[in-house]
Amino acid sequence: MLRQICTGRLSVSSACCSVILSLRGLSPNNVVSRSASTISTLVDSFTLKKKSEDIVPVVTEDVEVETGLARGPLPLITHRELNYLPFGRASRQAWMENLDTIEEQKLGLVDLHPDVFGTFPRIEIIQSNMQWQMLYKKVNWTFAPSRAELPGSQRKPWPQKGTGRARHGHRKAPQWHGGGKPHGPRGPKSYYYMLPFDKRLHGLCSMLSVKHAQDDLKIVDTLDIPTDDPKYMEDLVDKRKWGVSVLFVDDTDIAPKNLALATDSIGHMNIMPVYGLNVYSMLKHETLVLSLAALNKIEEKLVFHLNRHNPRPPTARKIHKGSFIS
Amino acid sequence: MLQNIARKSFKFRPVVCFKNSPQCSILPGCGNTEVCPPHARNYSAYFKSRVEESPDKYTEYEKSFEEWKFVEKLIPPTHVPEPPRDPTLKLPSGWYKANPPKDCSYNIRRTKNHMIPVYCQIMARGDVRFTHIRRVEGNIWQLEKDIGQWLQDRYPLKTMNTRTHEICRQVIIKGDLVDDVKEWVTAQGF
Amino acid sequence: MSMKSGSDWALALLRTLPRVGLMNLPREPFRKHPRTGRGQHGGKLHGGPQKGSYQRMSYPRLGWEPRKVPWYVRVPMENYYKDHHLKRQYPPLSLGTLQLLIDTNRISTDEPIDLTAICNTKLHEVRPQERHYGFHLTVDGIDTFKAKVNIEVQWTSEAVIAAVEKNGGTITTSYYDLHSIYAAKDPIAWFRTGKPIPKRMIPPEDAIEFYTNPKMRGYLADPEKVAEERLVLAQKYGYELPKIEEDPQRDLLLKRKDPRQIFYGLEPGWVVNLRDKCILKPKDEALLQYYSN
Repeated sequence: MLRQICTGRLSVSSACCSVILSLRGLSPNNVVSRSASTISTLVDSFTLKKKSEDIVPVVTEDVEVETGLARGPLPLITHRELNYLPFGRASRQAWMENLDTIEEQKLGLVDLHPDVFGTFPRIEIIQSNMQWQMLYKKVNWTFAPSRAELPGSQRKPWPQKGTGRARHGHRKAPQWHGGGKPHGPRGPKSYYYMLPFDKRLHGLCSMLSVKHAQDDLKIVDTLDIPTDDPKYMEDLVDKRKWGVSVLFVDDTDIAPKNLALATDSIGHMNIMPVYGLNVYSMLKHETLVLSLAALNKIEEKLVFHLNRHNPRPPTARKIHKGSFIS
Repeated sequence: MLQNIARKSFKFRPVVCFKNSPQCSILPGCGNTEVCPPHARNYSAYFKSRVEESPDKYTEYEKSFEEWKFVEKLIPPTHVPEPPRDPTLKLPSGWYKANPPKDCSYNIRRTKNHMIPVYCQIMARGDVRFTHIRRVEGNIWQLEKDIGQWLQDRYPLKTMNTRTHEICRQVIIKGDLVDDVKEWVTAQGF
Repeated sequence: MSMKSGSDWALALLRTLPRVGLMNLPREPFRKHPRTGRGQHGGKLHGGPQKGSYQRMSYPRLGWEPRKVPWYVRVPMENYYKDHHLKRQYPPLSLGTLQLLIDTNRISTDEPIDLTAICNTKLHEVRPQERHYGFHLTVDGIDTFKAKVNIEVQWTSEAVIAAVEKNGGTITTSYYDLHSIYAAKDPIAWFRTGKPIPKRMIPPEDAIEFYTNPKMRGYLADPEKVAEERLVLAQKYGYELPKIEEDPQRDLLLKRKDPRQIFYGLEPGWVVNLRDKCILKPKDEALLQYYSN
């Protein structure tokens, strides 16, 4: 049984919880674990609730203790404040779900920015992003030696006249069997190039929009699960009819322990921090699961770049094909 | 073994600070909020630059915090500044806050810099000109019909050729009609 | 109000289609450029005669145009462009654009407007590598110009001066050498390099007349003569000159830079430390002497 306060400050009544806090080396005044308290503060920062409201302690229901994690009263979230909204377009909406039970529970409604999660799906920009991600790391190592580089004699094989045979001057000529290659592949060749910044930006926005439109974008409160059993994750994905492959995205690069252990042995379920999110991985995995903190971070970054003041940040520099010599 | 030697030699390198540490280019609060990525740095300048020497080789200086307020005025904003919000405000330049009609089935969205996205495309050394209306939202075919009809009424002797580009969400009109189209867009309130 | 956007329609259509994945992405449509033959044998005769070096050259020489008079012969010499790459360039900025920038809150009139303020809008830029010596304030939009500003530009005309002064503002023309332009166009980038703020050089021989001319409000002109010329211009164009002395924004309107100064409040020779948010001022006699004269 946890007694919690929704507005950032946390009062801990149970002794066992304070032990956990001291073990984690965090003061109780700060936001504590990645569980319901974090989410309540996050939710609070995005709801329309005024900060001036008195601190209202909320006692969690006994029913929810069975799930392993306690959270505030439902719905946890119904509204998010979005900046730079286009005129006349409603925000996109998605359910916020949980991961701590196999059955799906709807915890609230999340507003998504229409410029990020509801843009025109530019499939060809997604494709060019995918092609770029496949190519920039590619190095072609194939090499065919020319006639000058082949070992062997440089001598004329037989005299020009008098033998009755065709005239030849070199054993390693291209028309000879085992001869040199005239215009063959030459050495390690890099395919590195940089996609223009705006194409990368719109590729990400289009991909997120496509994922959301095709019902493959799931938003969860946290990535905490009660057990580290891989069977649990398989059952969960099976029960909720998610795609076979799932990509979990969190805002920190230290994944929750249970999720890391549970998905470790499953090759098609992967965890990624926000800064690693990319178009190729989103295409490769059928379902994309974002934690609410990750969602905030992604949206903030993309909306900033869609409305930034400086048209040319340092990352926007264009690098052409072939400007890097292999 | 080789790795150990390399690590040791790296550790005892006679360099005062590593210039390629990413903190060198961090500046919070100004336009570039990101760390400068390695490929965006000028490495030739880096290698040519001199290594820092001991402080007694430099001339004396004094630190002053009072004049920082003048530096702050030189820092550009991160986001595009918010323009005036009142749509009825009459400004000398003719700019107005977009106030589209409520019952319209389409919208022409302003650009990031709060301008009307109507442009002229010039091809073949000025012989071929097109007017592009970009950032159209909603019923693009209705917009094409409305603008085409209005232009046809204005220039009855000309044939107005219009078309829609649905993927890029543009309406394209043959000829340089930017001023006319902007006049129409302004009258509608987009 | 929620309008059905084109994007919403497209996304609704996408809902009925198979999942977008690695295997079902269409390729970006591209145009295939017609390529002329090149290389040892690909180019064939290069459009030239059948024999000799024209046929056997592996690559056409620079400027080679088959069956045509080459471009560099065809175009006559245009002497009025002679030495254009050596002359000072002043990219134009019209009064209408300036008014638009002020109306959309891109430029604040509470501060003096100078080269840095215009460049910080990120909509107009000077490129010192192309010998841009600053902005030329032009007369376009003179009828709708209503702002009261203290502006410093590098080149302007008499009508523009009249338009600015009619509204109660002040205008100065001042010279920046290329080295100073590099610092002034992006001060943060300059400070980050750790270089001291350079001192502004005096104008070259052919520009010193312009910048000492009180009619052009040159920054090296005598202030008394400038005040006199303000009155003369008001009488010439027929408007009543607003009195700056009684203006509540008097301090702002009369704010001027030192002829050696690039930024307001910052002196040449100072180094700006962006991390500690402080200024490093030199104390060495030789440095102080260099930057003071």
